[in-house]
Amino acid sequence: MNQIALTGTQIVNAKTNLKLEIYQSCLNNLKSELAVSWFTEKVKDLSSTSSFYLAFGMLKRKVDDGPISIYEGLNAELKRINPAFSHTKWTLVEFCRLAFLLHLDSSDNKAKICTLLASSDMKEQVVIYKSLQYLANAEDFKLEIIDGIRTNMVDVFDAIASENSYAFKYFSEDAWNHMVLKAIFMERPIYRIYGIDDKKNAKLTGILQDFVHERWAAGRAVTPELWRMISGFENDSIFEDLKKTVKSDTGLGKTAAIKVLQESSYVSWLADEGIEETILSWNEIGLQVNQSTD
Amino acid sequence: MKFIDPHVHMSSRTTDDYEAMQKAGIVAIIEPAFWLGQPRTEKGAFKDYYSSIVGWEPFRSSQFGIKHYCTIGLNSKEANNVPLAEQVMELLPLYAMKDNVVAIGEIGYDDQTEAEDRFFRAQIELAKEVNLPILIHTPHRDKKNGTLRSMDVLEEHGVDPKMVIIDHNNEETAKAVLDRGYWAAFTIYPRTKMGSERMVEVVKQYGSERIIVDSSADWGVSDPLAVPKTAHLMLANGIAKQDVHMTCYQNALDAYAQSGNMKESDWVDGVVFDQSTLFGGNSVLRGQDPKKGSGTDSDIVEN
Repeated sequence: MNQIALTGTQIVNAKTNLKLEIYQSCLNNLKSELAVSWFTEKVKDLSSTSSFYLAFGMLKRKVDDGPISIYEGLNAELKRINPAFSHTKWTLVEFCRLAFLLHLDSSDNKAKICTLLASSDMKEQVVIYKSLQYLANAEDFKLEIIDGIRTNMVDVFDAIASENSYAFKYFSEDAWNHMVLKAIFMERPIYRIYGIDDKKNAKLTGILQDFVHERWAAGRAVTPELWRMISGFENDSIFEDLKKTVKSDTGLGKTAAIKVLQESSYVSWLADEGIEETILSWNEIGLQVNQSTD
Repeated sequence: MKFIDPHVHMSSRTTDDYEAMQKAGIVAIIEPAFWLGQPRTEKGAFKDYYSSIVGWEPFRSSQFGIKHYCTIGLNSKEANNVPLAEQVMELLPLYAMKDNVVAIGEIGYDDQTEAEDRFFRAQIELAKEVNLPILIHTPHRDKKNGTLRSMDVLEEHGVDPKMVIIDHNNEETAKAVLDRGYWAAFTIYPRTKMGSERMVEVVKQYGSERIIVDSSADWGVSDPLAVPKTAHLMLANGIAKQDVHMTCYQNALDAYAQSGNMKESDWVDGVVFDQSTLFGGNSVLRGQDPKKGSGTDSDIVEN
């Protein structure tokens, strides 16, 4: 999955540095002396459950929220763990909360974080789900994240599905498929799911084809982004659906179906029908689909 | 006109209500933690309820462009189950710090028992500790004495009256509450509390200073449009627009803004629920669209 193979010790060292680097970066971004001293003090005192909860909750009152800027080295380190990381998706309060989570001792961070999750407000859930991938024992939280995607709160769902490498790294095929299908149901941007093309699979294609038929039977449209997950798994039955889409759909749905066909063994049908191929990438299609809401 | 309903139990209401409220000009609401019509028997039931009013309900509300806040507290009715109340008290500090919490409440007296008194006082101390305003529920029965006693206890604990909203007032309690410097809220709730016509008379008599109108709409026969309806009735009866604005919007904002968690900028540019747009100035309402059809009597349910 990841080309760079690290030994166990190297991973631990990298995470230790990450924890300190993020802490330092928070200090650099904090504007007031008061916030700096409060934050410095609290980071040292997260060992008791109640001090952790209180500090995590109080943060938003102690820190003036705003965008963050980070050094290139830290940016690269965060991107190594999550290639979709972008500092523009983090606020200062969130980044400081990430620092708190990283400073918990990994021997008991699971119990503390799970209890916090069970009583968290929306913003807290968002930051916890965004942060777990950066913990040394990230994989321990697999069931919590899988449970997280059952939410109907859009920004909580997005925190897991969009620009987050956790599902890509740790989810089983079934859990992954569940997340993608739920993203389609919730009309979330598919192109922002990290690793969306690499984890396509035949089972997902079958589920999505059933979904397409169900929607069509109800007289409803499907998101053009859906065809991206089917691309590469075409068969004669899907070919019929694609032809139908090219003929009956207009706009991006048609473009997406053409794109699947032009990259498949059914490509000659396009030429036979005199249909021009598309030059749009899947990300460009995704961007256009979601333009009205993103 | 824009309105705030600073007391409404949306967990018990439907999306039709949200839609009607949005249409009537309600831009922000406060959902005080209360009981659910039947007593809870487990600590976990309280925990899930609190989680719901700091997470799920604000999300639901945002889909209709309405900003949702709440108050956290153990209500006086359920304070009488002492072993359970003790457990619930342990939960409160965890929730008092959440993002949309604007007060500790609604607390106070129901039957004015010893247990109610004990947990009322403990929660006053909690509010002082976390520096949040307090929302007082005044009892249905023996209201006047219950209200006076609530204020006595608050003063005994050294609470500044400007940090306290006393709710469910009527003609009998209004003067004492206002004279002692508290915010006086009036609940327009059919048959059991105030009617809107009586409310018009109260504002005529006392003016608009520190007076707040709310609906307390919940699982009973109640009206989530009570605030805008009362506002219109006030205007129709010659009350100045400025006074209507104060009683149906500004006073609630001023009282609860003291929490540091409620500000007009939360809703003036539209209510968003996507964190990633927090600093991008994006004000597009996301998620499932509120129903598009106009309210007709058609049997067609939108596909």
